[in-house]
Amino acid sequence: MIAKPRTARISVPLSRTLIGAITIVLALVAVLIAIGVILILIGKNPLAAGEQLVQGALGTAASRADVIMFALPTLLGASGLLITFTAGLWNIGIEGQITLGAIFATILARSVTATDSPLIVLPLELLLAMLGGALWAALTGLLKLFGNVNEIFGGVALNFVAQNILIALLNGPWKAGTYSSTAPFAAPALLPALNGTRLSPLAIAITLAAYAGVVFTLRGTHWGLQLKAMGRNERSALLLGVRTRRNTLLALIACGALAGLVGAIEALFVRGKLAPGISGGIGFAGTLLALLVNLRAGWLPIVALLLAIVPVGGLKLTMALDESVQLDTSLGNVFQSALVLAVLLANGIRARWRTRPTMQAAIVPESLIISAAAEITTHTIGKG
Amino acid sequence: MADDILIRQIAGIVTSGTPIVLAALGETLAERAGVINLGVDGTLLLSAVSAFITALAVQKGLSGHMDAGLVTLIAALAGSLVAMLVGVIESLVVTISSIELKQSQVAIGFVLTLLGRDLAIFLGTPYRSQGGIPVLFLPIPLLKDIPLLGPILFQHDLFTYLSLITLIVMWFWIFRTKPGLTLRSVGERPATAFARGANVNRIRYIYTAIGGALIGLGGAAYTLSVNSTWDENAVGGNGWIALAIVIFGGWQPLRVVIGVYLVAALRVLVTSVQSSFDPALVGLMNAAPWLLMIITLFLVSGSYLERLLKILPRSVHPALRALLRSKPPAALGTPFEQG
Amino acid sequence: MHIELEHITKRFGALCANNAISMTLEGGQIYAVLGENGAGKSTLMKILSGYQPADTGRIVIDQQPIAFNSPADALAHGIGMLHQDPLDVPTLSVLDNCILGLPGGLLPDRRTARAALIKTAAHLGFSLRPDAFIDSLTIAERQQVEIVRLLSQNARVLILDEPTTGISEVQKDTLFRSLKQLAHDDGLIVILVSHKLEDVEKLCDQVYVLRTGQIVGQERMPCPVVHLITLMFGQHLEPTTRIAAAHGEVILSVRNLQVKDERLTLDALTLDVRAGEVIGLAGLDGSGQQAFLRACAGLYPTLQGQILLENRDITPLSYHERLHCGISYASAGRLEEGLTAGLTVAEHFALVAPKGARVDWAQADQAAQAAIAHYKIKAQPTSPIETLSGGNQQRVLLALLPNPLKLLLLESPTRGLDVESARWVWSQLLERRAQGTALIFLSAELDEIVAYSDRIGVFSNGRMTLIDDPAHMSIEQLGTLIGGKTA
Repeated sequence: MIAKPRTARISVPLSRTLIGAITIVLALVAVLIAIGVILILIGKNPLAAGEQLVQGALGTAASRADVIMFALPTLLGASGLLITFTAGLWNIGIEGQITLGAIFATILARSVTATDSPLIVLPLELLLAMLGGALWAALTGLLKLFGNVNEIFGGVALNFVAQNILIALLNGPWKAGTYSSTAPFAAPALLPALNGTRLSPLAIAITLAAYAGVVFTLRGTHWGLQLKAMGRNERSALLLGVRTRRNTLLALIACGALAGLVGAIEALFVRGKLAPGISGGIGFAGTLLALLVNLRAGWLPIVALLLAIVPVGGLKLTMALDESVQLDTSLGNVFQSALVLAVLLANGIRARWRTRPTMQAAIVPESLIISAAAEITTHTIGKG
Repeated sequence: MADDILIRQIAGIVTSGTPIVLAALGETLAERAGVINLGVDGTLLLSAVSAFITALAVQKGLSGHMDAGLVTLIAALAGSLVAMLVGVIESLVVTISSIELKQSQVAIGFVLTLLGRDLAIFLGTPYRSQGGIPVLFLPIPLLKDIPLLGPILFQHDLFTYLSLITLIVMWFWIFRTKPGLTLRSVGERPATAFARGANVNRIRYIYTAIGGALIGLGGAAYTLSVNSTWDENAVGGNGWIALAIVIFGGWQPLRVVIGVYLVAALRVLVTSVQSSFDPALVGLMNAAPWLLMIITLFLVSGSYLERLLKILPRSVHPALRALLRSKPPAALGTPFEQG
Repeated sequence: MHIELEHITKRFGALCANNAISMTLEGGQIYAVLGENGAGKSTLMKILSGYQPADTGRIVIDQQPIAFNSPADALAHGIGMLHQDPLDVPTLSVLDNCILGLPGGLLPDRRTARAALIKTAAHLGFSLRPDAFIDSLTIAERQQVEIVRLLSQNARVLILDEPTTGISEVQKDTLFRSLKQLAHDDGLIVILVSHKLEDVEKLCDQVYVLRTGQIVGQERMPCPVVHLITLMFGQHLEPTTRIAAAHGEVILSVRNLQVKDERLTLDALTLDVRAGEVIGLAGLDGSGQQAFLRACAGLYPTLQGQILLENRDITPLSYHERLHCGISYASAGRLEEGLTAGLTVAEHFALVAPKGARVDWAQADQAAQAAIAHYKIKAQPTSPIETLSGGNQQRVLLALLPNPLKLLLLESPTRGLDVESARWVWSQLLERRAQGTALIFLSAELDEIVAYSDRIGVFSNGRMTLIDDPAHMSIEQLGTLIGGKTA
């Protein structure tokens, strides 16, 4: 009395990856064409601009270093977000977690003097940063677990509160000089740069270690598998023995800790001090990156680097002497978000075309595994 | 004299709150139909800059050909229409992606809010330092002279009047008409709405689009009225506030509007006293609206409200529910398979 | 009114839910559509009430063949359906619920609607408060609202799907009185979809019996209940070879257990289960056996009473804690509550075997392979679980259960399986039982209950009757008990 499943969906990962790659490429082409058209309409030369962009980003060793350093925080943030996305959570609050990480690192950094030893100071700062981000994320988690406050709303609210805390500190007790920022940190507090370059080996190491750690956790540990089960079907996971409430909190804390590290890198290297907007939209950029690669961890570093070409090269374009390629950096941001949108839409179109699995099989949307439905209704904003 | 300042401040609250009122009411409508449009902030920015650019272009094209006042009016109208169009398009992307392409509303909305913001900044860069069209100040004769209420409610521009009219119309529509009942059932239990003959998905398209138009109008209100310039820092962030207030206001238009004015009042309060306070404290005071919302939502959404309701007599329930209830429309964010 | 259903057929894939069903329905009569779970009743009623189109066949109303394209369309033609979970909007008031969907005008005419509501309700003996909110009403009251609403929209046919589950005797009497009035006095067609023979006896004039998608009988009431049971369940007295097994010590002791779910409150239940014993729970959906099972698992809170596992009070323990005590629970909804779509077979094995922090994928793969071989699962370790057939999914679910177990709680272990798979599943379960595991299972298949249970607990309306010696019980007797009539 049962219908036999009609689908023979091949479980070989390769073909799915290939289709995924083709989808991204098609979306990329579509977006490039669209942007090209816009450029032509405003009297610019898209091809020349593109060429100069890539040249500007990859042409010199210095600019290549910039690309790497630009990609790092986004990669680090996206790695953390992989944890929460896998668990079925939308950690929009990551911006606030980055900010708190920077703030906590600054607690130590601003009192560092030139005679302190970096060997002691740096690890402490990093630990503090992780603590700050983790605490802020834990807040979102506690609001959700004990108050049924949806993590999106909680995240957004806490982002703003974090912003305000930052401004309060920078205009108040931590203010140095006339601008609202701290004084530049003393050398031992900063992440050292590789001699003669703008690279920070420590930042690179941290990011790669975090990325590897996340990949290993998600693929190789029981906890990671539990998160995956939770993200797909919370009820089933619970029945199979997964402690879903505890894991929700832990996932957020883990992501928060990594976000804190992003804040540390921003404060202790990129800016060298604590300033407004320290989180700089990196958290959201990381979210976009995670969405772009459809949560496939393997693609993160490469795509992060490729994406980083745009803002670095774009910066060169703003200073270009040739009017026909002079562009504002904001166009690069447009490109990024448009690309993610195009990929999401393309995935949806593709899902509509494929053979629908029969009633025996669950329909797992190919793109973003997490469905808003599960988010908004199960983890309801106001639980009924 | 102090009275005068107070009254003017309250009027200022109404003015500054108008764009958020429009956006929040628009989002309320969409969410009542079961669609969550996370792209409010980006749409607010994009529609604001679109209105600005359009109005300036129209003004430049028409000035000299006709009366200056008329030019301003037409420019504002054109700007508002374009802004509303932007809002409608954005909302359609959300609904089409959700209904036809089965994508997550949250994901699409999130990306759209970033894209809207980035596009707005890109398009608006050349316009940053330009002055806009003069504010369409439209005091209503007679009513404006009513003591107290006059300056507060009737000495504003068209956008503010529109926002208040929208509130009244929306409240009436949702709670006093038959189509309003259908709307509520689509958001609560689409299966029932469908059984009563409603075309659930079409209703979702329509109401989300209207909501989008209102969000767009809110954006226009920023650059054509509140500020008359393009400044992304003045506009940005308010969309998130609107989203939060929809939740905080329990998806009820009147509560939502009160919530907006409350937040606007808090902001005005902070601005006016900040000179006498320690700057650190001021920064924290700015966080007050958010903290207030978090704490309230925590208490209400946890089981604390249910426990309270159990203690109180039944007759109090309807009033208390209307006042405090913060349950989202039960079908919010869920797709509906028709037929 | 006169309705003819002519050769209605509906297929879902390979399953034929309705097979050339023909019925005649006359105004002024109360009909029963009887049948076991899965007989095809709800499909037929969905077609009649406009939710689904039939594949072939037609509906003829007063000599006019009609095709509905929506439930609202069907209501416009006079056919209204009261669902088991009434289709209303919880946050609206009673009055607003009745106004929702009414044709005409922008503004609702509240006064007229209110008057009509009160009048119709009084006519039927219901006491309704028009301004009460639906989510504060009981199921019985919600049913009343829906009936009043359907009538106010000139329904001439009322279909009621399992209306008496979860309402009290008094409420049932009110309902039946009103239905009789509607049919006999007002000339409506009333159709009761049910398994409850007691209700059918009390209420109905004619009975249609469905089994496996076909009409197997049409009777006028009064009619001997035994006859109806035979029609419903069929005459299969399969000779069963029950392996007598020695039972060990008492493993599970349930004392005065009271559980409550959304629909009903179970009466205080007392039961002792020994090691190696198989207890089968029979009863129609919603009679309490699922609530009892879930309470034992720790998924439902208990109102009062105790559950003892080997003399240890486990009542306060959570579901996860009970998992650690040697209790396992397998839900009926394989994919909704048990297996996780999107994970592969091997990943499931890795998930339930948490030794250390790292996942030993080689080991998980091995475990999956071993299970595939032993349980004859048609899949690979790398197959996503949702691509397996129902039968194979059930095998995986069983394979995931830890070994050894003290107590195994199963909901419908062979649901949706073909005969061969079902037999195989039971051979595995009996093996566990031989090792000393106590089994409590619930099933809608009576022959399964009779074939494998050492003792049977029959649930009806929240009350359990324990049968200590099923060997001498016939299917008919069992069916009677289930139908709600004490033997």
